[in-house]
This record gives sequence, structure tokens and C-alpha cells, in this order.
Amino acid sequence: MQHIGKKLSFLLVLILFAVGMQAQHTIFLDHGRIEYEKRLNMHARMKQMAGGEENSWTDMLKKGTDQYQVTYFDYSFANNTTLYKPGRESPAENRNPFWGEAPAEQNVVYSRLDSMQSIAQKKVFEQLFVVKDSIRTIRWKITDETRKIAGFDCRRANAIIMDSIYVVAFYTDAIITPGGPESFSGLPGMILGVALPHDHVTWFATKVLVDDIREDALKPSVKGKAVDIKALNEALAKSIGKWGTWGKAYIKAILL
Amino acid sequence: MKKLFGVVLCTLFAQFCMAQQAAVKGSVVDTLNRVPLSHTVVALLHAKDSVLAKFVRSDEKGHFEINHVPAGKYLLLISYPAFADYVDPLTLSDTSVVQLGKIMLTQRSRLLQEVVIQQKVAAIKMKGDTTEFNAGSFKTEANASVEDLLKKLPGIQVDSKGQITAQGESVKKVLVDGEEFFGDDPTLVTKNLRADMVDKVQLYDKKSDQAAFTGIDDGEKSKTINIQLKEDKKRGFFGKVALGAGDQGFHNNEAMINVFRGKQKISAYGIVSNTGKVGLNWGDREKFGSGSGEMSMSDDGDMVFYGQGDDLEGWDGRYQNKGYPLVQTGGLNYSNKWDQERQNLNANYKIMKLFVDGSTHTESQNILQDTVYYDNSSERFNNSIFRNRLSGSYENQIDSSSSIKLRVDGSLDHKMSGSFNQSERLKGADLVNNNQRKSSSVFDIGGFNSSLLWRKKLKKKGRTISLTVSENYSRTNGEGLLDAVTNFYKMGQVDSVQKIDQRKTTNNEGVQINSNFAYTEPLSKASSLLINYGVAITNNHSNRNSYNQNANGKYTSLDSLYSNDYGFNIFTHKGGISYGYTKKKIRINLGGNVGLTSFHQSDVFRDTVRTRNFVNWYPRAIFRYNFTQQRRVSFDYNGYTQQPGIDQLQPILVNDDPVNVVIGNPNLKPAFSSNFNLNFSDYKVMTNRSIWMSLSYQTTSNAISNRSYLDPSSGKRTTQAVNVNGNSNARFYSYFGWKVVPLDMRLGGNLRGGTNRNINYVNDQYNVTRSNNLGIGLNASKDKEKKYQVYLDMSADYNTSVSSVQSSLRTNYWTYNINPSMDIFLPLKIQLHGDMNYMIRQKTPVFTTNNNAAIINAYVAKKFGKKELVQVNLSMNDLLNQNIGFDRYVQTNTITQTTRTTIGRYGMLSFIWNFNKLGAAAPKQ
Repeated sequence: MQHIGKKLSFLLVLILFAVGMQAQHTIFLDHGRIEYEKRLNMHARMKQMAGGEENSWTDMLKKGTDQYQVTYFDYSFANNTTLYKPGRESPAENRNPFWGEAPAEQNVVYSRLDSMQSIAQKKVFEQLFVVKDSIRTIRWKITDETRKIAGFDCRRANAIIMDSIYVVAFYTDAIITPGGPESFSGLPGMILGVALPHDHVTWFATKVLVDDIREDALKPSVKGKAVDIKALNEALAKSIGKWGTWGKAYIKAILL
Repeated sequence: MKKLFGVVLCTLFAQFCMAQQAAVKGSVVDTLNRVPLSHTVVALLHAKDSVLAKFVRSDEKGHFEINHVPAGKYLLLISYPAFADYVDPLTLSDTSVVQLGKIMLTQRSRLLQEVVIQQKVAAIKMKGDTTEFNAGSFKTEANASVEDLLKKLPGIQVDSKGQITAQGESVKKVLVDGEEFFGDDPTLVTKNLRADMVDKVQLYDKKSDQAAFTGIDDGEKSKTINIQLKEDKKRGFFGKVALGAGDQGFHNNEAMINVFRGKQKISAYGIVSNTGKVGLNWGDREKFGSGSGEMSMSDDGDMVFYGQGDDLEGWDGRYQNKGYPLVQTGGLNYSNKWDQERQNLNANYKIMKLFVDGSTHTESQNILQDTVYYDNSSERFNNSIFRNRLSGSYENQIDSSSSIKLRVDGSLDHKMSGSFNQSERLKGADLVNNNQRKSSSVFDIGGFNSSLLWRKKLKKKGRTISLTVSENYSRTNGEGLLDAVTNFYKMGQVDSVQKIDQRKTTNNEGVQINSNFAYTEPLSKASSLLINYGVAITNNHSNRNSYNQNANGKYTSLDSLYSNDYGFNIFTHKGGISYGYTKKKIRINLGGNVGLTSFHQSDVFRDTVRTRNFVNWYPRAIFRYNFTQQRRVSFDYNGYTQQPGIDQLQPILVNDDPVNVVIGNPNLKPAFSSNFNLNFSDYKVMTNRSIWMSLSYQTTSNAISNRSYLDPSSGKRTTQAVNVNGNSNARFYSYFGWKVVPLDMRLGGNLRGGTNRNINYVNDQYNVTRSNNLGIGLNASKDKEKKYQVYLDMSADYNTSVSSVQSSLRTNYWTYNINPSMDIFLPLKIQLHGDMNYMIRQKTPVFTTNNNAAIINAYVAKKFGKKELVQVNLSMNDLLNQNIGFDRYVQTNTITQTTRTTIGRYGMLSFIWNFNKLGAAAPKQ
């Protein structure tokens, strides 16, 4: 029943939106809720990490791992305040003995886009961190490629972050809040799709709901060890950094 | 103060900049209705690379104002949903304030298609079934891009902007190996797909995302291109040659090679050695052998390992038993994966000739009610085996729901053994008997095993069926000679002499067939029910004859006392049910099997047939709780039945050792054991702290133990297997390890212990032997990459044992182990290594010899060349020559200590050459 409810509300939004499109002026959203579907191609990731080397160990891991690890995140936004947190349970099995719980699966990211500050709660194995720092400034290259995501026309922008990660983002100007999943932001509208093609991971909005989100209702998760990005980086390098390609991939996922 | 100064400076700087920067102003209006457009995005992009510099949104009146823009060349991009983009180049100087006035935007629907920026890359639409193009059949130039390849494909066009059209319609999505391909921006990423990496190009319909999401087919389908990449067709070879020569004739020579082409691999190895190495070690087996055993993963994500065992070599490829081994062995392996890894084949052949000679010395203490007997024996032996073994496996993932796996394994052994044995038995200090015997035998042992596993997932999620059928066949044929003389003493004088001179023949045959059919039905998202049924057939036949010499000196007269022709067949129906529940942190499994077993025992000599029926139970329970990802507790219970073997059952007297005669017991019943395990583990990744704890308890009813009778007059012992009740044991182990941050080293400690209760019968008296042990261990390690690594492991164990037949006699002793090891990496690619295994065993009133041994091994290694492919080792094994092959164990009322000849001190110089030729990609097909 709940499921049907969700479907209905999604359809309703679509209809509302369609109505908005037909009218003279578009309805611009400055508050609401987005559900992102995060898809990680684990097989491709494992192949990368193994450096092309294959043995009975990598074979077995591959067999025991579902190719696509699918998780959902809820993203609420009101004006310039946004909160990204784990969403509904994935219907997929996500068998993944290699990582156990995937990194960044439990991330809760609170962002203030006006002051470009964020408070992100990140779980690294048994340790909860609360990362308070400024939001990463991304040099976006705007393109003229477009696509529809969750009913919205989106424009593509490309960038390189963290020195080497190639990012493809799709944003819509019909949502005023200039945010996006995780720490992706800074485009003239809402980012509804992000792909890191060389890291085999994507976030795409599956629905956009016009929920009545109040700005002061969005609160960061503050439980955990308070650090800034630099301190987190150092803590990770000290412990997981020694674990070869596996550790590097983990750190990358945590630092996004 | 500093901060304040910074703020002031920043503010000043900002002010200064503002004064120096440009501004752009204007307003946005709808062309048709002349209405101001609010919330319009007005963005400035750097003209040279389209990087976003600044953006604003227009206010309610459509006005916008971008301030503080550094001088430069820009593109002005104005966008409004459903309106065409407005793009205009703009050059700003330091102080310019550009007034753009009213900018008209036009609704997209009113524009001609070619003006529309929107429909750019996006779409290809096509109708019909999947079309597949084989990339190899379209020639492209070297380093051509995927777009170049697509251009060549009939019906597909790629325009200058990289937009793809197929049969007049644009392509919505491009996938690479099923994953969306976004195309790389060459100004940001250099890595690009090349045409020669493509295997196939597929064109097909994909339901719209909305249809997939809502489950309602809106009939809207979009054409999708899937680019399938070629498997990395690497080809090449690698291998290793190691030659080593030492003093006293010690040598160790190995050669191995692996030739591969893509997933196809052929490897071979050969070993000639007398240093204990009889096979490939774990790492080499992966590269040059048949793989390092079976690894698989259960549906719950648990990993299951099956060692690919060989009774002659351990996991490290070393000989585990007594004596000096000399081996000549070789192996061949072929493996291949194809059909996108859906099918794989593995075939192995191994040949081995192993000679072992040596001697052992055994002392044992046998506690009886009123006295203690002591046995001392020495043996010299000389054995050899010639083995041929062929094995293989084939696996086929038939489709996404079903798979089949077939495994076969056949071997032929030719075994020859000879031994000379001397022993004496003392009652207290008095000699009771002594014995000298010579025995020799030749056996041919053949075996063939196969198994087939078929699994299928049915349509409903979680509903599966599987069928397993396996077969094991073995045959042993052989004969041997036994020549034994035993003297029985009375009052220090020889009282009587027993002579045995027999030829013994053995013809054993056994076949086992097991089958199991399992069906899993999901009850809910979290729970499921498993039902299984199977039939197991075990047929064994043993024919053992002993012949005495006839008048002509030929071994033809059958000695029926030591001969036997016996059949033992077991037929079992086994069925069961189990319930599983898995949700997030909890996993529960409850269930069991019941087996209806019938024994069919036929004694051909005595012409008797017996049939006995048993009901066997196999209960099982698992409870597991994960507090967090790395902290879990689990409890499991496992009950199982062990059937007696034919050797324990057949009523034959075995006089291989004339003073320790063994006789079978046809009345043996199956034993039933219950195992309880409690485990807890906690690992903290960030602080590198680990805790492990386990507690286990086992109790067995009808345990197969023994009844022994030591004839007080002759000192001859007869032993028979019997069922007993009350055997149990309990064990615990705990480990705590952590990282000492200031010293950058790891420390760990463990505490362990166990208690055993074993029942047997000693001269018709019920005997309970209780043995306990308690131990503590400590380890420390520290390493610095490419500098050194140091490891120290120490432990102390206390053992006690007492038998109820003579509870005043206790055996208590300590053992200690100290194992340091060290590696130092010096400049010039020189490595120094040293390790020691120092064992200290406390003497007991019975075992009074010194059994302490410090085994020190050391080597110096130097690597040569840029890639360090050549290595020279100078090594010293057992520097102090103290390896005595020592073993002490307590079993019911007998305590035994054995020393045996093993490889001791030798020095060796070895030369190791690693070679490889890799990376050459296959020529384009």
C-alpha cells in the first residue's frame, strides 16, 4: 500500500509538473524532496582494483557479489539548506562480501549553500566522523547536452574533482536550490544526476516530490568525532591507506 | 589577533577587487507574451573552456545583475525551462558595466528544430529486435575512437558533435558492457575508448525509465546502443627456475612455467628435491598448478574453502610425515574460461615418485589398575610410492538461473614399503616380552571420484532447486610378508617363543554413492524453508587373507584366524527440513535431517549375514547476530552421526604387531556427536584492535573407543573397537590484539584451554581419562617497509592427565615455545633472514630424556637486475642440528612420546631465476 502511495505521489508530481509546463510560467521549486538511486558497478570496480590480475580469489568474490549495488538516498532541500541521508531500503540484494557495508552508504550530508559550509556524518567501519568544512568548489564545464531526469530537463556539466575524479553532472534550472547529492553542488540549479564514469558509480534522481520542507526542520547529524576534511584524510591514510588499491578506493568513496 | 588581521585584509582585498571588476545587467522577457521571466538562470561561462564562472537568477521582474566579474572573455548563457537557450559572447574589461537591456527568450516549441540546443546528444530511437554488429568486421584505423567505429556501421551516423543517429533516429543511451557510457570530455580526461577495444555493438529497445520505475509500460521505448568490449586478450608466459645444492647431497630443484593467452592457460612444473618439498606451495599452486583449492561463497555471503588435498603434501607443498623424503614429481594443468566466463574447464595431471626412509623411536606408558607397562620400540623403514593422478572440473552457467558443475578425479598409486622393528615391553622394571619383526608389502591402490551439482533459481525470488550426485570408488590390492619372532619372559628368562612367518593378501573394494535434492521456498522477504531428500549407498568389501608356509616352503596354507572375507553395506534414506531467517543483523537457521540407515554385514567365511537398522539424527541450529559490521556473536549447534568403518567392524584378528593384536567388532553401532559453538569477534579497523573469543563443547554418545586386554602372563595386548558413552570435550580460545601507536608495533595475547573426558576399557575395567591443558601466548611484530620486519611469538602450556584406573598417577608437564623471526633489507638488494623455533618440554618421571630443541634457520638473499628477477640464496637449515622430530601425546590411559629422524642441519646455495614475457596484446582479429 505504501508502495502504491509512493507511486501515486510520484505520478501526481509528474502531472503537476506537466501542468506547470503547459502554463505560461514554469513552477520553480525551492523546497522539496528528491530520491536518488545510487548504482555502483561492483564487478567493474573489482576488476579495476585487482589490476587485471585474476585468480581463484577474485573469481570467487565476483561470483558472490551482485554486479550492481543499488542504494537509495533521500535529499531534502529548502532554499539554501539541504540534507542528504540514507533513504528507503533497496529491494536489491546487494550481496557484497568484499566491502561488507559499502563505504558512504550511511552518509548524512547537511549543506548550507549560501555560506558554502557543510556538516557531513560519515561512517568508516566502526568510527563515526562528523566532517565540518567548506563545500568543495567545483570548476564545472557547462555543455549543451541535455537529458530528462525524473521528468526534468537537465543540462550536462563536466568536471574533475580531487585531482583525478571525472564527474558528469546533470542539473535542472527548474529547481532553484543549487545543490545535489553528497557534496556535488555549485551549478545554476539542482543536480539530478551524477556519474563518475571511471569509478563506475552513478546517482540519478528517481523522483522529485514537492514536500513542504521547512528550512529549520533540516538538521545535521552531529554524533561522531569532529574533524575537518584534512583531519579525516589523515586518519584514513593512517589506517586504511595501507590496504593497497582496496584502501584507496575506500578512501576515495568516503572523501567524495 | 592574527585572525582579525586576516579578516581585515580580506575585506580590504574584496573592496579593492570589487572596484576593479565588471558588472552585467539586464532583464529577461518572454518573446510571445512580453512577460518578464523570473528565476531565469543567467550564467557567465569562461569563453575558452565553458567553465562556469558565475550565475544568478532573475528577480520577479526578470531583472538580473551579475557583479564583481573579473575581466575576460565570457559566454553569457541564459536558460529557462522549456525555453530555448540564449547564448552570447561577452568581453568584459576591468570596469565595464554592461547593460544588456531586455533579452527575449523564445519557447522551444516555437523554434525550428535545428535551432534547438536541447535535443543535442541525447537520442537515438529505433524499432525492431536487437541488432548486433561485430566490430572486427569493420575496419578502422589504429587508435580510432568508438565514434569512428560507429560511423562505419550500416545505418548509423555520428555527426561532428558526436551525436549518434541510427536509421534516422537519435540514440538515447550508449552503454559500455551494460553500464551507461557518458563519453569523456577530452579536455578533462585523456583516457578514451578505442575502436580496437570493442568486440560487439548491439542495438536494442529499452523501456523508458519511467516504465521501468512505475511498472506501467507506457509503450515508450528508446533505442540503446550497447558496446561490448573485448576481453583483455593478454598473452605471454612467466615462470621460475630454482636450482639449489647443499652439503650431504641435499638438493632442491624446481622449474615451472605458465603460458597464457587470454583466459586460456597451460602450466607445468617439475620438482626434484630431498629437502621436504614435494609439491608447489600455496602461491605457486595458484600460478602454476591446479589452483589453491576450491573457494566458493554461499548465498549468505559466507566463504567456504575446500583444500585440494593430497595425503602426501600439506598446504605449503611440504612432506608432513616421518623420515627423509626424496621426490621427483611433475604436473600439467590446463584451464580455460569462455562464453563470457560462463563456462570454465580445468584439467590436471600429476605424476610423483616419492621415496622415504628413516627411523622412529617410540616410548609409551600404559597405565593399568595395579601396574604400569612401558613399551620401547624402534623402527627402520623404507617406503616408496609412485602416483599418477588425473583430475578436472567443468562448470557451466547455463543461463542467469541455472548452473552445473562436474568434477572428476582418478588416481593410481603403486606403494611399496618395508620395515624392521624391534620392541620390548616392561612391567614396571621387568621385561615381559620382546619382539623383532620384518615386514614388507606391495599395494596397488586405485580410486575414481566424481560429482555433479546442478542448481536452478526458479521464477519466484528465493525459490531454488538443486541436485547433487557424487560417487567415490576405491580399490586396494596387494600382498606382503610378515616375519616376526617374539620372546615371552618369566622371571627374566625366556619362557616361550612365538614365530610368525606369513604372506598376507589384501583385496578391498569400496563404492559410495550419495545424492541429495534440495528445494528452497521463500516464506517472506526474510525467511525461507528448505526441504531436502537424498539416498546414500555405501558398499564395502574386504578380503584379507594370511597364509602360512606349507611343507614346500610356499605360503599356501590359509590361516583362518587371521583371514577374513567381509562385506559391509550401508543404505540410508535421508530427508530433512530447515527454516532460515535472515534480516539485517540477525540470522537464524533451524532444522535437521533424519536418516533411516540399514547395515548389511555379511561374513563370507563364517557364512553369516546380519542386518541392523538405525535411525540417525542430524539436527542443526545457527544463531548469528551482527552488532555492527565488524562485531558479531554466533552460536551454533550441530549434531551428526558417524558410521563405523569396515576395518573396525570386520571380525578379523590383525597380528601385524604380534604383541598388539587388533580385532574387529561386528556389533559396533553408529556414534552420535553434538557440537556446541559460541563465537564472538570484534575488529576495530581504525584503531586496529581485534578481539576473538570462542567456546566449544562436544559430547558423543556411542562413541567408538576401544577395549583392550593385556594378558598379564604373556604381556600380549588385544584391542577391539567398542561403543562407549560419556566422551566429551570442551575448549576455549581468546585473543586480544592491538596496535601500540607510539611504538608503531602490534601486540597480541591469547589465552586458551581445554578439557577432555575419554572413556575406554582397560582389562575389563571402565576407565575415564581426564586430560586438561591451559596455555597462554604472546606475540609482537613490528615492520618498516623495505627496511625490516621483526616477529616474536611465545607460548607456555600446562598439560595434565589422569586415568581413573590408577588415579594416583598423574602426568603433568609444561611445554614452552619461543619463535622469533627477523628480516632485514639491506642496500644492494640484500636480504637477511633468521628464524628460530625453540621448544622446551618439561621432563616427566617417565620421559626423562632431554627433548628441548632450538631449530634455527637463516639465509642471505641477494636479488639482481632492475626487475629483481634473479636471486641467489645462501641458506642454513637447522643451524644447531637439533631437529629431533618430537611428538608427545596422551590418549586415554596411554601416553606416548615419539622421536623420529627428520631433516636436520644442512647448508644450501640456490639460484632462482624468474622470467616472464607479458603484455603483448593479441593481434587484431
